[in-house]
Amino acid sequence: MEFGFTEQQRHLREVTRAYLAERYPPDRVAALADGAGHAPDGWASLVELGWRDGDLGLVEQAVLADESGYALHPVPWWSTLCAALPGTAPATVACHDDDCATLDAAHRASAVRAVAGPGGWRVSGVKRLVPDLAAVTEVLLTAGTAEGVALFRVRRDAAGVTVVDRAGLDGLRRPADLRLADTPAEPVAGVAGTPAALRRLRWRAYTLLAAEALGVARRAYDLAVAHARTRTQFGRPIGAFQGVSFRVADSYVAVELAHSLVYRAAWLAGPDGDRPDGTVDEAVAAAVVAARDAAVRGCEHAIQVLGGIGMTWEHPVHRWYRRALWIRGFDAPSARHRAGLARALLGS
Amino acid sequence: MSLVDLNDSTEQAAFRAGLRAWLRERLPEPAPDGAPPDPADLRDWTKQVHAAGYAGLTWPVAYGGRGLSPVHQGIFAEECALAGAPDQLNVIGLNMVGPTLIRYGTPAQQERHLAAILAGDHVFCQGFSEPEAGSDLAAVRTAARRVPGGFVVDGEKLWSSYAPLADHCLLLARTGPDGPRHRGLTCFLLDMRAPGVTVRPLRQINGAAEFGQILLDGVRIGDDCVVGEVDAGWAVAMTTLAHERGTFGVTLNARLSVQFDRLLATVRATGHADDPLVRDEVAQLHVEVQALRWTGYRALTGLQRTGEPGPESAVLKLHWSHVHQRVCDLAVRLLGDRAALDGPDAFWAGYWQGQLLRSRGNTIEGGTSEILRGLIAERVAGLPRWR
Repeated sequence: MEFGFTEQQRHLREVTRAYLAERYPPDRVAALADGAGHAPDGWASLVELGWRDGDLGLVEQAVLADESGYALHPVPWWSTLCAALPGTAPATVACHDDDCATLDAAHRASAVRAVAGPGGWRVSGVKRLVPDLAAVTEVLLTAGTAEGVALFRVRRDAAGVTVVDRAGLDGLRRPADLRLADTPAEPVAGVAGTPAALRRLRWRAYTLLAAEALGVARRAYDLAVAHARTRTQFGRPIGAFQGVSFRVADSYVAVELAHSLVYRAAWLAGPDGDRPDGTVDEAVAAAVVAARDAAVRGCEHAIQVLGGIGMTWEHPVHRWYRRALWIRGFDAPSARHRAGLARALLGS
Repeated sequence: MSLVDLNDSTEQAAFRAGLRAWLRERLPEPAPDGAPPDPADLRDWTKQVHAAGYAGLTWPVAYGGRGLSPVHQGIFAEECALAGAPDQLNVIGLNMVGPTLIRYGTPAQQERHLAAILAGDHVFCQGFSEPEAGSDLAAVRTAARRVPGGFVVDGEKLWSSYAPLADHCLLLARTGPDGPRHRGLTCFLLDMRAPGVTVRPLRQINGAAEFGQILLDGVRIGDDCVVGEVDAGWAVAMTTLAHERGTFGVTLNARLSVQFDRLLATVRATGHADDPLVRDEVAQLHVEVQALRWTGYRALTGLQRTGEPGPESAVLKLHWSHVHQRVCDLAVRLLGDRAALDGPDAFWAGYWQGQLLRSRGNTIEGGTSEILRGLIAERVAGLPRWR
C-alpha cells in the first residue's frame, strides 16, 4: 500500500504551480474577474502545455485542478473536462433545466427536447445556469428523445442558439442560460448509454471540483498564514496569539483531511479502475463534502485573520471566497451527498 | 500513470490474510448485535501475540523483531481492531520503550529488557507527567539525587497508563536542578517492585482505573539504569514520544472505524435508522472517519519513505480525538432517556456512557488539542511562538 505522489506527479505539480503563479498573479486574476471573465489567450497556452492530453489520469488532472483552484486559473478547463468531448476545443456541460435539478437525476428527465429529422437531430428548450458558456465553443447537453434522455453536443455558434448571460457571484466562472430553438445537434450517447456516461461525468465533475476546492482552501490558508506572520498588533505578530494561530491550525487540519479524500477519490474514479460503482460514489461524495467545507471555512477563517483589509474589494481573498461559494452551490448540496452516504451505511 | 496504490501488495495481502486467520481462531465470535466484547486477560493476550510472532513487527531482526515496515504495523493495528482483539498490555514497552532502548540503551539494558518486552514479561509504563508537569513536561519536579553507585529518587508521577499492572517504568526525573529547564533531566529504567515505589490506581471519570499514580519515596536506582546520558534525558523522552506518534495514528483510526460500526449498530437498535437528522449526522461522521483513515495511510507512506512522520501526521491525533468524542456523543443521544441508566440496566451495559465520559480525555492525553494546535501553528505554519 502506498498513498503519496510519485516523482512525476510532484514534478507536474511544481511546474504547474510555477506556470500559473507567473502567468496569473492575483492582480491579473482580479482584473479578469472584473473584466472579460476569462483569459482569452489562456486556452491555447494550456493546450500547448498538454492539459488536454488524453494520457493524463484523473489523479494528474486532480493535481492540475488543485493548482487551478489555488491560482484561480481563469480558463474554462474544468467545464471542458466535465464535457470530455473529443478534441481540444473549450467546452461545457448543460444538464440543469426546469425538469432536471441535479446531475444524479439528469438521465431521467430533461426540459430540452431532441427530435430526429432528415437532416439529423435538432434540440429545442432552455438550459439554466450553464457555467463558462461565454468562454467555450462546444456544449454537451442532455435532451429528451421519444425513447428517453440522451446526450448531445451543439456548437455555441450554431443556428438557433441564444446565450443569455446572467450576473454571477464568481466573475471567473460565469453562468448563462442556453436557449435552443431547433438547433442542430450531434448525438454523443444514446438512451441506453446515457446513465453510465452521466455517472462517469458526475464522478469526473465532482472529483475535479473537490480538487479545485482543495486548492482554494490551500490558498486561503496561505493568505492567512502570511498575514498572521507579518501583521503586528500589541507589539507582536498576530500569529503569536492563540486566538489567531488556532484558527490557522484548524484550516490546516481541514486542508490535510480534504487532500486525502480528494486524491483517494481521484484514484478510485479514474477510468482505468474497475471498482464497484458504489465504492466510487461514496469516495467522491466524501471528497466533495470535506473539500467544500475546507474551502468555504478556510476562506472565512482567512477573512477573519486578515481583519479589515480582508473586507475590502481590493484584497483578493474575496475572489477565492466567491469561488468556494460557487463550488458549494454547484449542482447538489452536500446534504444530498450525505444522504447518499447514509443510504450506503444504513439502507434506504 | 497511477500515483498511488491503495491496495495491499501481494506480500502485505498475505500477511493480512495470515493474521486475520490467526485472529479468527483465537478470538470469540463477535456479538451479532455489534456489542463490544468483554474485557479479556490482557497479559495472556500479550503472550499469545508474541508466541504467534506478531510482537515487535517493526523492531530490527537483530533485536528480536521482525524487521517489517510501518505498513505491516498498520495492518496489524487494523486487523486487531476489526477483530475486536484486546489491547496490547505492553503497548508502551513495544512501541515506545523498546525502540528508545534500541537507540539509546546500553548492551546490558538491551539484553535485560528487549526480549522480555517482546515476550510480555516486562510490561512497561511511562513515568513522565506529574501534578505540576502536564502539558509543560519540562517542569518535572521528581528529583534524582546522586549517591555512590546510583541515584535516590523522590517524587510523584501521575496519569501513568498501565501503572497498576506494570513491571517497569521509563522514568523522567530531574538530576540537575539548576540551569535551563530542559537540561538537567535524566531518563531511568525503574523497577516497579523496588522498595519505596507505591502505585495507587487512579479512578477516572468513567469509574475505571487504567492509569495510576506512582509515589516514589527514597527509591534507589543504580547507574546501570540510566538511559542515555545523565542530564540529557529530554532528548530521550522526545524520542519516546516521537515513536508514540509513528504508527499510533493508524491504531487510533482502526479503533475509530470499529467504534463507528458500533454507532451504526446503535442507530439501528434504537430505531433511528430512518431519522433524517441522525442519518445526516452519521454520514458526516463517516466522512470524518474516512478522512482520518486515508490521512493515516498518507502519514504511513511518508514514514515509510523518509523515516520521519510528515506534517500530515500532526493532524491525526488532533482530529481523531474530536471525531471520537462526536461519535460517542451521538451514540449517547440516540439512547434518549435511557442515557440516564448505567450498569446492567443500560444499553450494552452502559458501554456508550462510559465511552463518552472516557472520550473527554482524548483531547487531553498524549498532547492536549491546545498543545497540538500550537505545534501545527509553529512548526507547520511557521507562526511565531506564543511564549
